[in-house]
Amino acid sequence: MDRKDREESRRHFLAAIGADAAALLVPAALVRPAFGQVCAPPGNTSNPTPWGRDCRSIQPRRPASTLTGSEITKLKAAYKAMRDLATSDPSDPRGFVHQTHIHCHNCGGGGSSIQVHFGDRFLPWHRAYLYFHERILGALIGDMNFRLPYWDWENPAHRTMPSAYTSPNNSTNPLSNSLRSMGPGDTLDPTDGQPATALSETNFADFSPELEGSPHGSIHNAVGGDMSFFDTAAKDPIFYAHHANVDKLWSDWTKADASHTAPTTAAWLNQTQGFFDENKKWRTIRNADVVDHEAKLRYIYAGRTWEFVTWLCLRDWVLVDRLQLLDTSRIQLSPAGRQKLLPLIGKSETRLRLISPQLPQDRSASYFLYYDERDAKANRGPESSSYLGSVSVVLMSKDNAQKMGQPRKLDFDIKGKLKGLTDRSAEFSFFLVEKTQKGPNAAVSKLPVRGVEVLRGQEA
Amino acid sequence: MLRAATSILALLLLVSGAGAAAANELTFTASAPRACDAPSTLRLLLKDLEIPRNRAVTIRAYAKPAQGDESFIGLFAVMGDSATAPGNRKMPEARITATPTFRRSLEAGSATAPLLVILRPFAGKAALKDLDWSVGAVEWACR
Repeated sequence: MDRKDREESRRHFLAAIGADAAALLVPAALVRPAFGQVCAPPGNTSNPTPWGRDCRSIQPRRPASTLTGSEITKLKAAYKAMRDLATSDPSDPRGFVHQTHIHCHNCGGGGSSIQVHFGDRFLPWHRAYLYFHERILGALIGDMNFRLPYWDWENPAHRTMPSAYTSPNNSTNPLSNSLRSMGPGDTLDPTDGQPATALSETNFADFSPELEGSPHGSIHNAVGGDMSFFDTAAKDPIFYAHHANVDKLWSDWTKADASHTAPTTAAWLNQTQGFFDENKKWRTIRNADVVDHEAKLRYIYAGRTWEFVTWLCLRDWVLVDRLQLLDTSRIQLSPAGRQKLLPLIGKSETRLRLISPQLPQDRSASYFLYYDERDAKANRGPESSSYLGSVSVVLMSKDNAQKMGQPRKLDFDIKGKLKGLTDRSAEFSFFLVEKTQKGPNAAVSKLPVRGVEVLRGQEA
Repeated sequence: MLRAATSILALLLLVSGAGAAAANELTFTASAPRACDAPSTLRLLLKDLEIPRNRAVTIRAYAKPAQGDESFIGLFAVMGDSATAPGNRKMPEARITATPTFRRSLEAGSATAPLLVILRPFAGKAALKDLDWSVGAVEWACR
């Protein structure tokens, strides 16, 4: 696609979903006067910290109508804390008022020239917005496993607003909003919440505007009140459950067919959005970072497409030091290496990596690994300060005719053991003991290696 | 380009608003759309749509043959900028994708007679009887 084609595509994309022709030519701020509230983000946002990695466990976002009583209590507590923060410290960007301003500011409100609707930023921007909003809610109630619920309005049984948001329907409920046109018990028109036409689209450039117009827009309009307008929509807590469902439909569409992919242009993938995180740090996050919400943003959707997936944390491991090898069984931590490790004690995720360990291959067995011979002979397993972990050898066949290969590396978590390791001034070795061996004089064998490294986890 | 390949099937003319003022609907006479070749999508394009910026509007489109019942084509929705936003939102084109039900009815039938296309503005279930709005023309299109 050449530049002319791209511009033509963008023009059609915008025209198809109804963006002003004028907005294609000049910044919106030049053609429209400022109106409504001032909603720019607080503080200095000129020096952002790029979002890194999220290593929380993957948790499901669940239909709001299926939350248990205790889950509803937790949801309300989170929004109450966010509302209270807006009162106790109006300058705190995590407070509810500032959270609502994020949407306003990014939708042309208060004279802003930014508009994340009517284009290919609509889905990734809202996904990132909900992600940081969710993290803040979780932090405010001390539960980073907290996930937003979603309002699955396409389900005929769920065309009324989830009761958590309407019961009680007054200011004592932090999820209520007094300006809604849609009252408790009112049902949506069945045509307002139909994603079928959007889900039948075969490419992102058609899917996104189709979803944005309806059901996204029609549900906003049906709820009414604050939800009807770009500058106030996020003032209604149902906004976040509504957009979680829009986000789920993007997820559903992506999973429905291998050809249903997000844009792959560098321009789209590298497009960044800015948000405050739960530590009040101004973060930027790229579209590329939000495409895979399961692996990177650590949530999945429960319900029709429920899949319980356990993912390994995708943290990067950075080399801190290579320990000295006096020979394959004698290791020494140099003074310089010790200086590198000391700052990590008690602060960082740390791993000890054994390069090309030569495990015994005479029989199938499970072993405990230690770096102190006396502990190895006592063989008290995880109770020992020099215990590193366990490793198992399973032979290829009973007669051991076909030798198995040796592993290229073995990694052990040593976050809680780093001080003990740095305290050792003399050389040391690694000792294997069969798990079944009893102390205090268990048979031990040295484990030869070809290298030893200490690595630290790259913080998110 | 997919958009560039969009084929316009028929240009429809605004012919009637009489008798519809109470519901604030806009009515167009149209040729019957032909069913698009699968898996293409049938769309009703609203040309030169103009609605106030301070209103959230859901436009529902219906087709009514000379003899027969109305059928729902689909809808288009756009939020308002702000309750206090001045002026109108002018859209060169807004598109309504026909529902699978409407498409199936076209594929099953062989109607060629003109029909009415009726556009009604809503906010949720509530008809917007006081909305000051306009649509220049409507067109059928296959993607």
